Amino acid sequence: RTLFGKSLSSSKTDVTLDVGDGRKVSGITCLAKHLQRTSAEFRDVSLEDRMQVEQWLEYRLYIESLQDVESERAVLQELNSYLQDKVYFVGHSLTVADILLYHSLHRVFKHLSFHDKERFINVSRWFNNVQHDRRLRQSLTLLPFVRSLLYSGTSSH
Amino acid sequence: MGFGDLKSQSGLQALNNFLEDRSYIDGYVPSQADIAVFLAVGTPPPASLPHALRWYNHIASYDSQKDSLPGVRQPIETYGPAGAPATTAAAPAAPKAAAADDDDDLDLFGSDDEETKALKAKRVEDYAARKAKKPVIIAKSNIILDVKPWEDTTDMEEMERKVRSIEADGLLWGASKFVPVGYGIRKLQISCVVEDDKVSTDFLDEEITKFEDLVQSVDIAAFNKV
Repeated sequence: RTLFGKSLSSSKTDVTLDVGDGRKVSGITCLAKHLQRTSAEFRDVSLEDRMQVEQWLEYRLYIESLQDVESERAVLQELNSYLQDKVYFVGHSLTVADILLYHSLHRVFKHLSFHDKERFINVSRWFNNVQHDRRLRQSLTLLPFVRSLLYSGTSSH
Repeated sequence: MGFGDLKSQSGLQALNNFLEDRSYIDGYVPSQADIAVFLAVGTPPPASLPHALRWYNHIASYDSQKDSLPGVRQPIETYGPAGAPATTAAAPAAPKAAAADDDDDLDLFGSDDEETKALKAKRVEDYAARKAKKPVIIAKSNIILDVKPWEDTTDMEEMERKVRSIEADGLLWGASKFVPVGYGIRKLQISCVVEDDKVSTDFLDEEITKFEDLVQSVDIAAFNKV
């Protein structure tokens, strides 16, 4: 996670951040929450927003646990309606929530058909927007998002 | 190019469609492009255009940073969907007398107002008039007929005279020759030009076979469109 330029060590099962003072924070969720609360990048984020971010981080665990396509679809549907009027998950800028959700959803999006991507247009829009940030994407692949010809150009719906 | 008039419903609709799968006007981070369009839009779009509204609210949050965003502000027409609008708008918009404002020309989704309706009606009329004046091309065909006699002693010249005596509007006899077919029998091969609408091959067939004593049969050797 060079995004935060902090000293990070990861074992096979866990990620641990050395915060100095001999203290350690482990586990991605806790780590994210910690960074969120302390990192300079997120200092301007309001308390309310931070709480929201943390909620999303919890939600992310749920996403990680999904096994079948049906529940994946349900999740995407929910996210789709949530993102209808938002550019980022919390507030008007990138937060840890976006970052971690992106990483978790990459797996899901990878095997989505173009048709489905278009069905969940808001999540796709958010995903496509967020994935173009190299620092964020890191080693993950850039996924293609193409709208069906029916909606391309200037034709009206 | 462009969304059209961003203060009009159609322009906003175009913007909405554009932003359905985009977070920003240009690229994946906020830039001067967003600011330029934001200023052109002026007021928040209605909730019926959710993507435009989402984008608008988002860009509004950058109010304090608007001068520091990357990019250079371009004329408003350069943003938005590229291509089609320029060409389709050019034709009907060209003769439009009142088209001082560039944005009106690019109004793809706008319904026809009175002026354009009148203009269109006039142009349809002109087209119809031009078409009517154009001389109608008459369809003609060149037919070569084989007229066969009963016997070798049949007077071929007589036969030819009789065939040429057939007159009809749209029928013109052309060259002819006698072609030997064997046993001393010759057939008359004669060509004619007919107007398709006026003379049919059945007619020719009938008329020629009327000369029963001379003509055994008539065949069409060739039929070409002229």
